[in-house]
Amino acid sequence: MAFPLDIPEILSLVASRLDIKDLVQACQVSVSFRDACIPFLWRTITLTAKRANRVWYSDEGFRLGLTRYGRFVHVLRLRISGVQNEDIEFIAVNCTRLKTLDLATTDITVESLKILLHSDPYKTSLASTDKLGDVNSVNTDNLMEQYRIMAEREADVDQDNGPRQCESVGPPASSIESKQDQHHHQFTGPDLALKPRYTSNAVKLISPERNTGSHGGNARPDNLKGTETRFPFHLEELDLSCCKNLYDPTLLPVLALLGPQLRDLSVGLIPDIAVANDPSDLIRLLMHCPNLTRLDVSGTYVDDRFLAALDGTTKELAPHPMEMLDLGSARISPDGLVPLIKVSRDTLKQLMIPYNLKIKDNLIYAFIEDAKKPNMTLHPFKTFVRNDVLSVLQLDAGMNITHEALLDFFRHTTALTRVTLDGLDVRDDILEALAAANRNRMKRLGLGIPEAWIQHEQGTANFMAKQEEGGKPPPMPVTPAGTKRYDVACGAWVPGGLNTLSLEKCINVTNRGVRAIVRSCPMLWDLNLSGCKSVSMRIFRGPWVCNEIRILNITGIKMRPRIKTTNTMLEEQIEDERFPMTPLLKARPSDDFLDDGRYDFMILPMSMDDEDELDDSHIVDEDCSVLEDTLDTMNMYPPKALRNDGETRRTLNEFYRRLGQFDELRFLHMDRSDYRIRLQDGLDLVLPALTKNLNSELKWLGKHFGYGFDFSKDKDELEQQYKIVDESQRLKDSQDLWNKGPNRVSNLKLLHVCRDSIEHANLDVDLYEWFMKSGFRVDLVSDRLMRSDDEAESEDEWEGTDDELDEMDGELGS
Amino acid sequence: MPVVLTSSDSETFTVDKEVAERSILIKNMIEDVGESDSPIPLPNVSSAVLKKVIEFCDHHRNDPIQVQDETDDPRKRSNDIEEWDMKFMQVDQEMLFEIILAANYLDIKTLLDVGCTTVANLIKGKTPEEIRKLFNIVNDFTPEEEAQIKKENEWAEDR
Repeated sequence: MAFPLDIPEILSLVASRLDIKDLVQACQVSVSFRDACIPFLWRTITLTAKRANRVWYSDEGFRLGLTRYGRFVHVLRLRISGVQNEDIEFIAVNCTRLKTLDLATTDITVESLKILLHSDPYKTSLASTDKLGDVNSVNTDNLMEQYRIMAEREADVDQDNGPRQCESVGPPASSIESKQDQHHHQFTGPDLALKPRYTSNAVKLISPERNTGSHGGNARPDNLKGTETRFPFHLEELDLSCCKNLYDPTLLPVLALLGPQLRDLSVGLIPDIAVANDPSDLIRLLMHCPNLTRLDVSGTYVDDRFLAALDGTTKELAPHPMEMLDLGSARISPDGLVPLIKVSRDTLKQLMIPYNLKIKDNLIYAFIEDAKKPNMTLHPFKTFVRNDVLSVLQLDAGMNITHEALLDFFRHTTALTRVTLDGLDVRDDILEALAAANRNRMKRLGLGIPEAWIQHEQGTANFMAKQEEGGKPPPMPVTPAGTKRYDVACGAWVPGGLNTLSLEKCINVTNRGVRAIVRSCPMLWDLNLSGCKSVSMRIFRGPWVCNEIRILNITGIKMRPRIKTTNTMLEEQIEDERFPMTPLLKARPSDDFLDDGRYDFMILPMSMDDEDELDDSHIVDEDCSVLEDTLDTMNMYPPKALRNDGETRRTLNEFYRRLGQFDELRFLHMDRSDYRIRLQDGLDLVLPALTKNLNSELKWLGKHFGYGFDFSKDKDELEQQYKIVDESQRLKDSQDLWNKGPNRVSNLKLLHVCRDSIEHANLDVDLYEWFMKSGFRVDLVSDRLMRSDDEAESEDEWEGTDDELDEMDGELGS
Repeated sequence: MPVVLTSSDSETFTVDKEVAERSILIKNMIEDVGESDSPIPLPNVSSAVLKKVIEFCDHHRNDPIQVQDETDDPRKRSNDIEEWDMKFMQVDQEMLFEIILAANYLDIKTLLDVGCTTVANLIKGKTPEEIRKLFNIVNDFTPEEEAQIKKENEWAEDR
């Protein structure tokens, strides 16, 4: 039988699906495995946080590896301290196909950057005095292609010569520069014929073996022998944000050397980038870099003048449509931005303008305005065109945007994936418009409508029918003909679709809007509802389609929101009709479920402050109720007013079950609540259920909770559950549970619990160890629960450790 | 219009055209030859494997066309397989490899993806020795090479 893993393409496909840890193991299997895995293992190097310096400076193996496999590196994220010229030299020499270089927050200087960007292949310095028109983007693009072909050929030759030594350092920069210049003079015209063949190699280099020797004839020109540092002809993305030593007027001319290569630049938090409000350097950069369409200038002195140059008003540049623009805390106003948005309407995918109080409705309207009828937005009969481009929008704290404008906007945008609207006047109708846009998108893609939403609408229709016809049976639920129901359980991948929604302190949002979102957007994975005072915990009732949620912030969401209107009360009535409350069933007889909520607190003997007051006879008596009464009278339990009542417990029950379904959940913030988490339920039992490996989390959860399912009637299920429990017990006994066991909590990294939730109790030592071994942190924050003034700003908003943040950054991607 | 396929052991299968055209190879063949009743020979695929492949194509006949999506959503790279596909792939290793080879030959990208993902999931969490044992692979490294590869990639392990 032929062995598929002998076929390099197939092995490469397998390797592409392995994560870095498994790649390390797999590349030690055999020579063919190594050849398939190494390119993926070295494709993206992320050295951040504490280990960055250690690995970069003192891991001999890493440095040796980089000299051998540097050509596979596409992305290098390096957060080392003390970037020296030698480091940049090392990168320049080895990472010959580097596409993305991220040196954010380092102390790199312009002088060091010059080591990498040492020559001027695109003649930017000559053209710099001229105005636009002289820089012909078509020609520079051609030139770039030629340079890349050349670089590829050189790399192949290098490979034939075998690995270079780690210590080898090229000749002084000056000589390389001169040779580089000579080189590109030689290099004109005739090589264009070779273009297709070599570019294809350049883009998809899968196996190192395939290239070896195949281009041996194309020897590197003699005059370049011995030189090591080439211009990085593949570099397209540069992240220099927050680099404190780059407050330097010479930075931008150096970056301009990249010419048409540069597509993505982050110079956020380098305020002097537009020195003394003079954007001419930035404008010149854009003149030389016609492909630079993704720009992060947040936290800089960039102002409207720069934007005016971008949109062509000042004639310094031809109109320069942008794809991504981060203008956080830049000094811009709608007057500058609106014309640019109009110019970039077909390209602008991401716009970040948080915390800009100047923003008004006209900016929002610019996205959806009908270019043919420009003034219609102010007209009572407004006409808009659909915006199918914009996907990321940050408008945090844009207080001057009206609800009406937002509603018009959300009704006419179809491609939004990340939306932050913190503090805006968002109401349910806006969320419903957003949810509808998502459903329409899925319909267009032939995925149908989420089942949960169909049930939701049926329930609403039933309720309305009952109201109107006075108890008559409701009409048959309406399912639009030809609609394919979207089966959430199948885990189908929906391309695009809303994935991040932040509604912090949107006090007008109620359960109704949130329900529309969570029942329509299967791809949602970051939901921030903190401080949405009109939303209650009842949102966890009924089905959710976004079961892949990773970050959930329900800080301050209460069981009973203080603001109640007839509308919200009606909505809850309708919800009861849509999804009746699941009855609580007891799996085992136990007074755990006393309705007075006493057991919502974890009480441990060790938490008794003053044992002397305990009457010994009560303990010896083994009469638990007496013990409890004693604890009660001793004030070990909180007063009845603070305990969860029956309704709360039912809602919490639904909440826990929902959590059990979120098997990707990693961050959960839920302090400032008015309910008590029973630690034993909420932590020890819910969280193991979050593991992916259990087939039936919910039922397992039910077993331990005694909530929801009665296993005593289902023998098979009972047996299976016992097996799972036994297995985890066995593994726990063998101290193996947290390393290899099937119950490992694989994803959750941090749990943020309000100390009040476990008031009058200490964290059980076992539980604490459980957390430690499971590899996540429990944060206990100070008392805040019953603070009368819950308007108070929470001074310690959640913050992850650096490592976790880094990791999240990596995951959230662009 | 149905299409007739003949396996290497001369068994014939009649399938709907839209099912058969999940295979780019067959699709191209049909386009080249035009509508015809004569069976399409697949000399590299045995009947047992072809049966599985047809089952897969039939299940996925209505799959939406994948839209190129530019967002960098990490889940896109995840190794989660749909439940049905996972059950479909619960076969012995020989069959798994046969399916992958057939998918490669017939040019059925989704099946090749699912197959390779299944293999990747088999590799997950295993040591090199375990992987060799699993696939019956001979360690053809020299001791020096093995030491070197270990050393060079150690950095990637602790994160």
